[in-house]
Amino acid sequence: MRIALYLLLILSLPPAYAASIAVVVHKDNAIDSLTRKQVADIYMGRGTELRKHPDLLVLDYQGDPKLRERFYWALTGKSLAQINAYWARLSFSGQANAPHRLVDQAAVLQSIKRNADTLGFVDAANINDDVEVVLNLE
Amino acid sequence: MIKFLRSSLYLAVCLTPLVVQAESAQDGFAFTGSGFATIGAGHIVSGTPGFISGKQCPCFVPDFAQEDVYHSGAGYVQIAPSTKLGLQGTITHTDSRFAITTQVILRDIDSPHATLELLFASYPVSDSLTLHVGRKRIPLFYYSDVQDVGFALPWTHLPPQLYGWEAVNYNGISVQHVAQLGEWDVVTNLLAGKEHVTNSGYWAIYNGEVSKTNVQWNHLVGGNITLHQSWFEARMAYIQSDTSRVARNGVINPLTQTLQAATDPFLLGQITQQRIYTSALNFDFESWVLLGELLYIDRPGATFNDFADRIGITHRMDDWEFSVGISEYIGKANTAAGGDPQGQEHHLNRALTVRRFLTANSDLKAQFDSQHDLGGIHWQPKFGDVSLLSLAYDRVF
Repeated sequence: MRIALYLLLILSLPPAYAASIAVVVHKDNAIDSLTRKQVADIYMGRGTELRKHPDLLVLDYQGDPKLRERFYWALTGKSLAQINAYWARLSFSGQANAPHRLVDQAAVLQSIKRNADTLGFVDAANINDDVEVVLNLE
Repeated sequence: MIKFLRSSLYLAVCLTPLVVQAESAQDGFAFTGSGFATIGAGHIVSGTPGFISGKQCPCFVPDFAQEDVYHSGAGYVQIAPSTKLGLQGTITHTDSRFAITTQVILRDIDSPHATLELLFASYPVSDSLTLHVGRKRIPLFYYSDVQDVGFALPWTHLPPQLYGWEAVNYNGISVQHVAQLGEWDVVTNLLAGKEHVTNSGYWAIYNGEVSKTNVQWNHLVGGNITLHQSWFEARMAYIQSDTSRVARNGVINPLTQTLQAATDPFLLGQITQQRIYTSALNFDFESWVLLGELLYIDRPGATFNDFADRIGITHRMDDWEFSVGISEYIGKANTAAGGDPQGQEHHLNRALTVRRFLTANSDLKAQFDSQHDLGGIHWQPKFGDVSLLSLAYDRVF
């Protein structure tokens, strides 16, 4: 009975990759790894991390709210609306520009493949040989 | 009702073609366009009589700089004061990262007019230093930079005890320095410039619209520093300037409601100096946010100094936010300079706000304000004690 319960529990869990989001760069980019704080600073337009990489193009999404929601929640514990309200304070004061938004994960992966100075986030299940994972968010 | 329909239609016509986010790149330049809109309405629930700027009170002034006034003589529901549409564009030279940013706001749907709030060039001198030249906000308070962007604010309107001043922008130069000290992000801004306001909205509230008061803030210098670590942020600012005002047509006597010549040297071009000190502490921990702000303005030789403070707490629950806050403004007489302790402005406001995010880019807010006019017996004008219920729909695009 106990074994059956364990099996049921294991089978009911989503695959590990489904809950994992990979922060990725071009495979030839000099960035090997980033901490959660560094990625948070980059995506929240604060700190000095992005200024250390002035040519880095940071990518976000127009059309994937579920992935965006999971990403920002994992990174900051805030909802998308709260993130957008935060960015409204930065962008409408002219302090910073929000990350560049692309349509979907295919576009992000394609952009990273074409440009070595690009950083984005995708479902871990979608990573390919063109990108290098610099942080995994569970 | 006709005015309401006309105003709503006007705003809808304005908004419809603009609810798009533009982004394009060409020949080494990148352009980004965005905007924000607020449709606000208010209802004076109750209050005591008073009179300001020729308006029947009780009155609530959500934005002194723009002469926004909710007043009991405006009918059951008043649409105009907080309603606005803002458009912002930035063009960036992608190689040098030289950029020009501009922001224009369309206000007051009863008598629409546009104001230029931002127009500045920025250039990153180094990885930590950015130079700005042009028109920007005076960075007095925590939300000063975005005081017109409803979606960035936790309230339906600004807390008038802190955020309402005769000048909120300046033309000049500023330098921003960003550094990291251990776990702390440190952002420092230094600025220099000036601001001249023609037909000040702020002084129209005090002296009547016919006064046509011009304001000058010259030799404006100062700066602010922000320290941020994880869930804690501290912000301090110091600004000083020479100031002067000229009430070109005289002033309205609040008792007789007649125009008379201004006699106060303060309104006849006398130059005084002001030193503005502000500080803010913001704790943003999990689902709770606590924000406290302080203001002190020292005017050597003037008849009064300004004190203001606000403290508020916000609790987030999924798509909901619940906020309570209390704010107070005190004009303190400088008796050595002839100030009258009973002739000073003083008001206290308590506010309760409920916010519901409708989408990731829009919200609906309801706020109840209870403001007490504690001005001295010789103080004019009288706002009256007032309870205000206000609603706001905010959107960014």
